[in-house]
Amino acid sequence: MPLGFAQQNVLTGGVILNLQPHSALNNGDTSKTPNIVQTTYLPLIDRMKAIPGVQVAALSSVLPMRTEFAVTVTAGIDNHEDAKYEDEPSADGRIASAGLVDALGIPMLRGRFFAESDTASAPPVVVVNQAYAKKYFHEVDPVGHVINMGKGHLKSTRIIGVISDMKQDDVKNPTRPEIYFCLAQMAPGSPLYGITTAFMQVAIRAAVPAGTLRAQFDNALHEVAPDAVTTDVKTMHEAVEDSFGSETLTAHLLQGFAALALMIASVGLYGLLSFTMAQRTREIGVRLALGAARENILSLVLRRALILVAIGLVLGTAMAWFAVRLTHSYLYGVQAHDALTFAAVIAVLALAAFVAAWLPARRAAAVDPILALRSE
Amino acid sequence: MIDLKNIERSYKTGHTETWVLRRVGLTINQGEFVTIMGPSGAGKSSLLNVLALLDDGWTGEYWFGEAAAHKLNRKQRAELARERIGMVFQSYHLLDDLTVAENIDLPLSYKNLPAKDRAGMVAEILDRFQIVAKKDLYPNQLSGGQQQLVGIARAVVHAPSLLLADEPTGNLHSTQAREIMELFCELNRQGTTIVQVTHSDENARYGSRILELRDGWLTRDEALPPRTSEVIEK
Repeated sequence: MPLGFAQQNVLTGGVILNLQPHSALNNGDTSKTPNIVQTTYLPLIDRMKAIPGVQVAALSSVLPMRTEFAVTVTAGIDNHEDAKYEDEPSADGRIASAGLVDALGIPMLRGRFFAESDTASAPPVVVVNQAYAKKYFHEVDPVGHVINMGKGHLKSTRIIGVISDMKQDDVKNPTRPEIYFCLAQMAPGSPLYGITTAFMQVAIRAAVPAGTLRAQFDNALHEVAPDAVTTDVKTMHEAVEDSFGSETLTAHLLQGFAALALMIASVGLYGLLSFTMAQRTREIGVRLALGAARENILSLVLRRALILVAIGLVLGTAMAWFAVRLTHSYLYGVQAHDALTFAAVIAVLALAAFVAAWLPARRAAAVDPILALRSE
Repeated sequence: MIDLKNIERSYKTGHTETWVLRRVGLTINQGEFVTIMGPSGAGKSSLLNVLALLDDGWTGEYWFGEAAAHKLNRKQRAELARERIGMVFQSYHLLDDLTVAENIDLPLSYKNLPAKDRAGMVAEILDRFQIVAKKDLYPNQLSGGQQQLVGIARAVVHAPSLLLADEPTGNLHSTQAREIMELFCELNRQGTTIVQVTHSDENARYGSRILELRDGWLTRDEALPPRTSEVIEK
């Protein structure tokens, strides 16, 4: 299932800093507020990169399939000051560090992602996703255009790249437009700085199995922020699995019920044919005595089974054709009336029915005509 | 036509082996009407099953014309039986969900015959046995005698050279039994070799030869004088 990002060897986890109330709150004077980006997050990235086996480490306010919260940013494009607020483009606002696209394997479509050179003193930059570019720039290349947010530090931020869309919180929903702000350029007083004080997430790509890095990630965090805690540390693969939660459970339950139904149907057919053949032992004996070959008896029983199975399949397929409408919410990447799936199901059912019919048919063909005629 | 040499048959139950046929040797010529008699458990039906090629567990030599049945495998024996043997059962063994015509057609359906030829053969036998009016009836709509008549029609529809009958009148009253035996005589006169198993001395007298079995041994093999009309009327 294409999600737009890589799952292999990626460890993710939440970071909650235990900030003192005075540092967490912006009381108007931001000059005395410690910048946790510089004091904690950037050193944390350096620490994580130093862990043996780690290839890339990055931070982001939101990671795919781990959507803890959403911030909608409404910002104009290219200083169209006469535009009304409600007409201004809006998107999910995210804060990310350099290396995020490498950590998650997100393809860059245009321009570049954040780099080490995008520091707090460098001109502010943003990256948008494909959905944003498509919605607000249409055929125009967004790179080089300016996004305007308020009157402060981010008044004019230049778009430096476009990343490919990825599934955010639900594979069934289309990807919403996103704007990524550079973590290194966040400072107290910046419009989105508050996000960093609340919650950030880590993405670590490693050359070793991601699950083995949990302890090192914990240690790295405590080295830079002894009071901080990690939350919900899991591999990206686990995060994806968890995001399917109820759907996966329902799918497994449905698989179980389907297997059970198939088994019951097969056992039922087997039982019915066995019973019928037991009832017709004398007839089989008569047929054999009158010249029927064993193959004739085999085909006689299988033909009867075929009639039963054909009726069942026709009725079942017709009912399933209408019943699949109920499963719409559980389907992704496949049509409810997918011909291949229907054909495969029919083939599996027919095969199971054939196996269930074969045993009584073989038993019937092996009937001793003398015993069968005497059994009366 | 049939030559049996040292035919033996036994059944094993645990460590016990029960013999039902002991060194049976006999020759049956084309056109004979042979009656096998003997008390219950003497091996009459076992011998009939050997002759019918329904049984595979016997030892000895069985020549059916030029064919060495004892050297044939199960499939080849079934093929030989399908071509040359007809069977009549005491309980008729008509199939309840088939009509009279369909029952008669049954042996033909296992031969590679065109449907048109089969239909012609069934029509001919229905006419010959004077049961055309009953062709669409089911067995449970017929009397015992009529059912046996259909059973015999079914057995001879493919013109077998050997007709085997296991107690063919066992479930019939005497009038019906006489009619069936007359029919056998007529078929025999037309060239069909008949071997019947019966307990009835009266029925035995319709045949040309009596074989008697006791405890699996062939104890009597006697030709009968030609049957007279008084025998029947008696």
